[in-house]
Amino acid sequence: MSATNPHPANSEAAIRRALFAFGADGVEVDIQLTSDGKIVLYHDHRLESSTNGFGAIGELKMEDVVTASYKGALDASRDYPVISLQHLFDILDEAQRVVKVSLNLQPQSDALDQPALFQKRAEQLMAEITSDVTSRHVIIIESPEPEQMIALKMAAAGRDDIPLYFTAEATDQNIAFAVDHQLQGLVSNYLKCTPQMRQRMDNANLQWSLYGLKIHSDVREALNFQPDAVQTDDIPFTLRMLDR
Amino acid sequence: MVKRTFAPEVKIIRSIVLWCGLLSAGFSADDASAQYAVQTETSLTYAGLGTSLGVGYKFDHIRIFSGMNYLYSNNLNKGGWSTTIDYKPDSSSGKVFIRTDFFSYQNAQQNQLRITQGYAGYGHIIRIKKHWEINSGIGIGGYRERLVKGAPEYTSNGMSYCISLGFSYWQ
Repeated sequence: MSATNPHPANSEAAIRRALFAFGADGVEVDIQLTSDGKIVLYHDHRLESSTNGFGAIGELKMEDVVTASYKGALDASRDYPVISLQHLFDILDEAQRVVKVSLNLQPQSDALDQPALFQKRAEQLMAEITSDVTSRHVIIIESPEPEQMIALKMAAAGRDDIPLYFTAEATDQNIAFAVDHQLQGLVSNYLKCTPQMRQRMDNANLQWSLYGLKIHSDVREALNFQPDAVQTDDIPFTLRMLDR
Repeated sequence: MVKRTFAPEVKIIRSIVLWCGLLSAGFSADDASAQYAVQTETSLTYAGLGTSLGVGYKFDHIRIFSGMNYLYSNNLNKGGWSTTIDYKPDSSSGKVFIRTDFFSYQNAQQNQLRITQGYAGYGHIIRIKKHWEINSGIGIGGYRERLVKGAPEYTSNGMSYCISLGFSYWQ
């Protein structure tokens, strides 16, 4: 939340404002898996970190998770419930245009995730993102965990309608990982970018998305790297910088 | 290594604080005959950080200011308007105010978004020279965002705040 983004991240109000009020090309949201295999939009693995709910999302059913509401919002008079991935898809359809959505698959716990969990999450995520949805919108999956990316690639076998992006800096090692596993791109923090990285990404034929853009100077500096996409808090200013 | 620079809003706030510190060092007698003013004000509201420039008029204990408003936090390309009505007794430096802001914005999908805000609050007016005043205020109120043209239908309402600081020149 900020002066330009007064609603909690991943909330329906924030998504609607970005897509409908300011006409953004798309949104980036964080996702977690519930105990019954459903997907909800939330960053952390425990509800009490940002909502009035309690418990680990991985141990709760979706019907319990979506009863929680974000706390500490600038507007205390309205409710900001946690929403499901399917609810996000319904909002996208209201836009009546092709919308790009980046689903950032967050770690499930503080401890190292187990390989079986990576596979389970990948399979359940692919089941939620049907070809019916990808025929109407562009759905990208991101993850900062290499093992999760490998599991996603395996679960996506035979499906070329869901681009996979590795959330990491554009170092030689990470670029090699993306190329070796036939991923479509990287998502990097613009503060750690260098001009040499732009050249490496071009040579590897990978898409490059930058995040961490919160204020005007962030937008100006990030656009200097000529990314293929940016994740920004200030949509109107970013659009102006892109001459749109 | 990427060099970070301060955003325009940070620079503006720092400049305002500096100038207020310099100008508020003086104080002079009130000029009761001055009725018209030019005012500039920087404010932080739901819509973002903005600066307004307008004219004012006072009668009895009432002051009315109205002027154009430019938002730094949003790509405003259709204009904005701000109007404030203050009530300030002569014996007090404090004031109560009501403020309304209107902004119109054409988004990337060529749809027109209209933002309306209204606040009520309390502030101070400090006369620093014969014609100059510093105005400050903090208020609470609400906003309404609405797509007036285009699909899909979009309306959002809620509560918000405003914090303002500005200067007036009275004639």
